[in-house]
Amino acid sequence: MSWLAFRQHRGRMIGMGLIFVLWGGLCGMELYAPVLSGMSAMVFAYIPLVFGVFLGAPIVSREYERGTHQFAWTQSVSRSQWFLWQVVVALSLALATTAYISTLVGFVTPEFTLEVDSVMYPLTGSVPYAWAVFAVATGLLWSAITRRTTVAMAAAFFGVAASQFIAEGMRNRSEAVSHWTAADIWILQSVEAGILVAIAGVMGLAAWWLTARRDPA
Amino acid sequence: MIALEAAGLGKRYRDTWALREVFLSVPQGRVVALVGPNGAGKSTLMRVAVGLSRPTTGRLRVFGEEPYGETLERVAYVAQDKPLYDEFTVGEMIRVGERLNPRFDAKGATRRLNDLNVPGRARVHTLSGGQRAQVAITLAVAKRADLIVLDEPLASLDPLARHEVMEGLMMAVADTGMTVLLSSHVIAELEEVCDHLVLLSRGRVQVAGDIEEILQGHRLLVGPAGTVPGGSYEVIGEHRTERQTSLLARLSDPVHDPRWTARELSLQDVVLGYMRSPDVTHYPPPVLAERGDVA
Repeated sequence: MSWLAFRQHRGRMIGMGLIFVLWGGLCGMELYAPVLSGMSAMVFAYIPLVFGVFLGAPIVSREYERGTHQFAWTQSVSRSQWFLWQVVVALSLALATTAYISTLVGFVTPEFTLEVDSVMYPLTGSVPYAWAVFAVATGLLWSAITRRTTVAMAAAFFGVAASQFIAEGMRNRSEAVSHWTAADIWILQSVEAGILVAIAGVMGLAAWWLTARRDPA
Repeated sequence: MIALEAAGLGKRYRDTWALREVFLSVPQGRVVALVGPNGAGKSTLMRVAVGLSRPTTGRLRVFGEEPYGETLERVAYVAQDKPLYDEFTVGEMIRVGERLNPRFDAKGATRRLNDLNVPGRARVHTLSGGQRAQVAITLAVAKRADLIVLDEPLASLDPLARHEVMEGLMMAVADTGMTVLLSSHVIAELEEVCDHLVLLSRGRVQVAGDIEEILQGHRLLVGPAGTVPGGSYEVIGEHRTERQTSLLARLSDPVHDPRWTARELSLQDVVLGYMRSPDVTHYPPPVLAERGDVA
């Protein structure tokens, strides 16, 4: 089962590999041209969108579109197991990419004070990983609902982007009330990560139900 | 052992019923021809049998179990459009089969596709329609299931490919004794390989039974116009000209009427006769216990 999921993700692995190379180049440039400093951290905001669109959205809908669900789901493996492995591989790719980028950016960024509106906020602690999980789950849920990859991709894009705006607004609101310092900002980050992962869990369950329990058309 | 059993099976898509009150009992080892006009519910019945669709009413069982979970090991399925992963090579498709099925015969599948000149290194999307069908069916056979369900396996194949597909399938049946459920529009081709018939019409079973018995029980009665042959029979269809009358009839006893002749019928004639009169049904009555299960 894992073999099939990995094999199907080969193209997407190459895509993530490209991001690895791109980010390496970007961070390298920052090291040698201090004018560009902070760029790699700023561009990071788009990475969850990439996860939602390219890792989450195709998972179920690509099978429906090409009819291969009729092959995959009539082997000696339950639909739930099939679903689980697809999600595990997509999540692993997203988390590995996140770990690589956040380590690399941390490496090239000079000393900084962590604040709510700093570019490093989304790149430190559990926050980037929670967004990666949330983005994949958003794409996956739209994939299971619409059963159309392009529609799911668009919905995932706008869904994750809108969530980022909402999260930013809520962060700023809490900052106005609590004035987070560098020492206790991890609390805010953990709360944000906790909410994201909880919503992702619900979305993942819904996607599983729609895949394993609803009839394919 | 009953390979496939349906009791009060119904399947509704939004507000139309694709299957309704289907009672069916197919003994193990039969090669079943599932026929019927377009939209009769053939594909729906097959999808329910392999666990892709869930019944709206009643139940369907494969070897006594519902076709989910571990029972999927005993059922193989090839959908009408032969879905395979286009970007995979043929060899990788065999590997998928091997990874996903505990009883999978990878060596046999590789050998069979070699014999058919389907190269293992070829990507699936480069295969011809016939080769694609061969790969899909070979994978299903290699699963070593006890029931293999093939939805229109011969559609879109040229005559030579049709022959090869059927030949390969019959070899596998002879080797393993598996039960086969296959649907087709070409009834003449089914007659050679199938020994059991299920005719669906408007989502219901219209005729079901062993083909030999069905052929034994039906005759074309031809006699002078304006007369009726004596005897015990049911008329399924009739054709009248000025001089003579032809009746497609199911006989309970031989007809002894010197003015009338009884001719044997091909499976196609019988099936077409029933298709033209969709209100006439003929199948063994459902067993009472099955009715009890439904209620």
